[in-house]
Amino acid sequence: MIKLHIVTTDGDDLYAEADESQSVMEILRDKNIEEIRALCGGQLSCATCHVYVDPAYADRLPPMLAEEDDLLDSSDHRTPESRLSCQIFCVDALDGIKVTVAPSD
Amino acid sequence: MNSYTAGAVPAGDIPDNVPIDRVFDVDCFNLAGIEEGYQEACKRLQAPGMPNMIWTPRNGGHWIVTRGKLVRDVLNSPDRFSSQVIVLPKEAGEKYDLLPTRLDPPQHGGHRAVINKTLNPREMRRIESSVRQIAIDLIEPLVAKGRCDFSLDFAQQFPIRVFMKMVDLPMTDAPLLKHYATQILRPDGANSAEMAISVENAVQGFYAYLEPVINERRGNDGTDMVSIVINSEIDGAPISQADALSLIANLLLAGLDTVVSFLSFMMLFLGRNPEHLKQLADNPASIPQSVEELLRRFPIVSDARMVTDDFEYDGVMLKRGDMVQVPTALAGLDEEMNEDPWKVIFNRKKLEHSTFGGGPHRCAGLHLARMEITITLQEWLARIPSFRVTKDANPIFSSGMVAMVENVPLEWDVA
Ligand code: HEM
Ligand code: FES
Repeated sequence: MIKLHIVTTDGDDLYAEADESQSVMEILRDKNIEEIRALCGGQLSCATCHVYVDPAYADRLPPMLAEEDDLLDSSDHRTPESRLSCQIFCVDALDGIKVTVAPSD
Repeated sequence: MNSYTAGAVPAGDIPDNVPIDRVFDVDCFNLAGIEEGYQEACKRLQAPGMPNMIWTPRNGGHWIVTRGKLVRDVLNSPDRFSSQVIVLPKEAGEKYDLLPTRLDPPQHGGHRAVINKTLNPREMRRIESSVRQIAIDLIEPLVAKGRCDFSLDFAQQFPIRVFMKMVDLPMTDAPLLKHYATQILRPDGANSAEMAISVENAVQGFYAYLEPVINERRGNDGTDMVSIVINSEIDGAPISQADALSLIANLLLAGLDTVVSFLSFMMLFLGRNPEHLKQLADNPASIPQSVEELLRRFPIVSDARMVTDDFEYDGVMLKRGDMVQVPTALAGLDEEMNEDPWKVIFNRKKLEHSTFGGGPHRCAGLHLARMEITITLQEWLARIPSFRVTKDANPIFSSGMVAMVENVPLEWDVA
């Protein structure tokens, strides 16, 4: 189990616990965060699970696949911290990770 | 008879590398049990005891993968399973040469990048309201009628109009382009020679129609699909006229039958399952998420790959040039990938499917397809929230590269 710190688009702080069988997207979806529509259900083909990951965790994230890079390119809100949350599983190394929900496109 | 039997085919037709216990008599253009439904007929290939990889002497002789994990693996291994030929029988498939479909990596990437520019989510947001208007214009005249032939009156009209909008060409030319597309996808003719002529005529007709448009838009800064393609570069050089024509032809063809078929399967299901229909009609906000579950449950594409080398796979020796059919239906409907795969559960926590294929060729139009499906449901249910398949309906299913269901008559009470 790891702890997650979630910051909503309104700036509210939420906290959650999750294990490595779950992606960050699933945690955000369970919290009913409106922007995380996760239309494709985590299959890396919709880009509606966009978050910004605290740079302190950048080097512990899984590498970005070309498909993820492409999908993020079609967002109007991409930054260097952008990731698709369905691609980040809650492994131990990410304990305490802070993710900020990106605005909807 | 509900299942296939190994080895129940004339022995003379079987190549040396094919063990007899892998041989089944499967005609992919006329699947056993197709009268009950396409997905049901596909699923027979996955019945308990069926090997993961089977071989049929029909349609030139080819392998078929029967489990979701192999569907994924084959599509994700273009170095071993090439897209050089994707249509069965192989002899016919060798003539099919649309871009970027028949390219393998690394050549595939440059052409694929060009079409991604026209079909990415940002482009979809830009055209969403016009696509929605096209759907509304088709649905409104139907409302007061109380019944329709869904395939004819909506499904067959919608994607071609969306294409006309995306290429910025007059809606009045839609029937002409639809004619060309039909002759390429399902050519008229009593035999293969006549059919080849129909295809050739349609391809030439389409290219002759498109050439002046391309010439006029080259060098412009238009944002329509033709302008984007013709003003693209591939690996640093301006795209050739021939490549541009081939890409645009594929953009026309790939998004017609697939969408017509999927929408028809979807409405047939909803018209027979009032509880599911009510869930969507009562809660339109759930429609976008629900579309993915419908895509999982109603996969329709089954094309092929060509083996690049001699190697062992799933315990059999494949030979360079062998064809392997990849029924996408056997992924989303595989119990190993999704629990209770026959059940439509709109709020599934986890779902996996290969309805859009996988690997480098994964459907380039999946964002458009999802948008067309979502908009159809939203605008239809806003006007016709309750409907049913008529009592005397007799839907006809067919299997092939893109499965079809024809004859989906719907009726509803008119206020
Ligand atoms: C529900 C509807 C659709 C389904 C089920 C579907 C399915 C597929 C599948 C399975 C493939 C992969 C074929 C292969 O790997 O050999 C594919 C490729 C493709 N699709 Fe779709 N498709 C749909 C709608 C569309 C639409 C609306 C377009 C828009 C133009 C489109 C454009 C394409 C293109 C261009 C390719 C070739 C991609 C490549 O080779 O890189 N599709 N589609
Ligand atoms: S949920 Fe669709 S890309 Fe992440």
